[in-house]
Amino acid sequence: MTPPSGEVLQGTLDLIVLKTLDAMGPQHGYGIAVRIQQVSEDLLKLNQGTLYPALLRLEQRGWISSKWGVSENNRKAKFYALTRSGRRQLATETETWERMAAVIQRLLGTQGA
Amino acid sequence: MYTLRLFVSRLIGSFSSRRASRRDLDTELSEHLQLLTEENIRRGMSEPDARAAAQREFGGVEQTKEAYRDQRSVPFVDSLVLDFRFAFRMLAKSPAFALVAILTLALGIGATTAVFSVVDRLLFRSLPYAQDDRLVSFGLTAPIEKYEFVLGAGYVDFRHNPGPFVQIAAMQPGIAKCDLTEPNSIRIDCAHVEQTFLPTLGVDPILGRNFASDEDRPKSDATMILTYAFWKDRYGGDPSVIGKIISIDGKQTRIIGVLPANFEMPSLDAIDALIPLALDEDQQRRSNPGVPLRAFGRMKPRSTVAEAIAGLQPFFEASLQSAPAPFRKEIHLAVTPIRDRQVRDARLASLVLLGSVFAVLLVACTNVASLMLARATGRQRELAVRAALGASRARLFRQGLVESLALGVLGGAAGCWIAHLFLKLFVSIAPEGIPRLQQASLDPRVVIFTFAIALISVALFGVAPALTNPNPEQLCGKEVRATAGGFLRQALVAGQVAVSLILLTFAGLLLRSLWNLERAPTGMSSENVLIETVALSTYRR
Repeated sequence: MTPPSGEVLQGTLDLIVLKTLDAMGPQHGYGIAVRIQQVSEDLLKLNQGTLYPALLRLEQRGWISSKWGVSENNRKAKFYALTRSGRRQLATETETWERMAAVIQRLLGTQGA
Repeated sequence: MYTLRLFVSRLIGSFSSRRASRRDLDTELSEHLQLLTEENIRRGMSEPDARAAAQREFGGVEQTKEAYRDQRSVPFVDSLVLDFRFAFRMLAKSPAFALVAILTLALGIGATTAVFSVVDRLLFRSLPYAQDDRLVSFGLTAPIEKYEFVLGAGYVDFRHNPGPFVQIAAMQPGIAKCDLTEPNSIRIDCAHVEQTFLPTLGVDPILGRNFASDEDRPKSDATMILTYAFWKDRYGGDPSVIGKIISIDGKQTRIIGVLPANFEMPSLDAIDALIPLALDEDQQRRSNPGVPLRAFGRMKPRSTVAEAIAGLQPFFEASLQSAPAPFRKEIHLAVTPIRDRQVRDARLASLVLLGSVFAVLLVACTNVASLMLARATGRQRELAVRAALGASRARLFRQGLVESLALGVLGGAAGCWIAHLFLKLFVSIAPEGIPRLQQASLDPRVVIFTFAIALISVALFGVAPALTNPNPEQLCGKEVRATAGGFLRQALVAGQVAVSLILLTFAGLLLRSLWNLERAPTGMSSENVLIETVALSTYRR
């Protein structure tokens, strides 16, 4: 077995970003990155740069919206916020994820027994 | 749904400002790095260390930008947009070349489009009848009458058992003038048709109903069906006009229906109303041969004109009996598809015309192709440099093709405008009697044709120049004589001369026949002779 890498699993970044925005309200890219690192207690090794194409993709799908604002130290920053369809998407993705996780959990459980 | 939305967003990304997006991303990323650095300094790092650590945490800035760019738009469309921008820039840089090429193309495309819009109405567009390919005009032809007619005496018997046809209908040849007497009386154009006329053509009135069979008898109550245009003009499109009694030629006539807007007579005559033919069977038999009529038939599905002719033989022989014996040899049976009947002799003429404008287009295309080749020679070095910098053959070919496409699109657009002018000219100088000329217009169907023509032209003139292979020797700075395309150019010139010669000969012959026609003696002296028509109402003698 390879050691736990802490790489973000393919396809989960979207869910993580949506959840973060849901929890914190409108936030800029740096804020999102910091929050992800805090919550995961640095277990998740996020290449912060990869956040930006993901944010763009989510915006293109209409799940988040962006607008220019002023950051806490008075500089121009882009703030992202969850849209209504983003909230719906978060709900379905959370559900899918939980079901998937339960299945994996059960599978691993029976293997161990 | 989300995938479509994603695609549309990215497509929009391809066409929106690249520069603004790049500037925004730069601002966003540098702000991110700045915040990271400040955070690191707060944790006690020196500034250079903090900056380096921030870079590490962030990952590759350039990779991020690249991934962002690819996500923002559709890369293929992106480079196509770039190609088009480049192409238009190149055209703007050599305006003389661009102007000549576009004008040449526009003339060719414009002429082709104008002629097509006329010919299309004649030959290709479906007629406003249900399954118009099954409709024929049938009857006898004689030296005095080239177009099929039937005689009343034979027809009244034939219509009870119409042989090879599903349904037949007759009408009085030509149009009849009727007097509509009401406040502000007018004289209108009526057609006398049998009750089966509309069902045979497969036309339903949009308002009211068709004639009933007992309304198509002599001495029955008079009824009429209005055409759409007349209904709109005279009665303002009022639906309550159905059932209204009006005075036609002194007879109280009930309006029972309105025809669809696209209705037209098989003869293409413009009319205002249909009136029942009301053939008196007994009188027709007594007065053998009876009145001349035009007859139309709907053939059975999948049957041919030859079968219809065979099926009409008994009717034909019966009809011959009524003709004086010396003339029988000169009377023939004829069945003509209704489109051919309408087009008459215009078919060959329009095909020839279409062929000749295509030839003109071909000449225009070869002209533009030689222009492009000449320009390509001047651009050899540019192409060689681009090839050396890593552009593939396919990429260079695409670039060349896009430049031709840009020319084609501009030429097509200008061609539409020229076609519009040509068409106006055609309609104003054309003699009377060219069927459907008035209907010709630049509708979407014709515009689609124009752009198809423009694309074909692009294929004709654009591919060859785009295929020229950049010669790496161009890079070493000395002048290399361009040999590429030498053969092509000669072939182009030869082809152009050949086609032009054909066109010239053709035009010369046409002029010559026109000249002869003008000078042909008519057998009468037409000088100082006037014709005047005085119409007197027949019912008020």
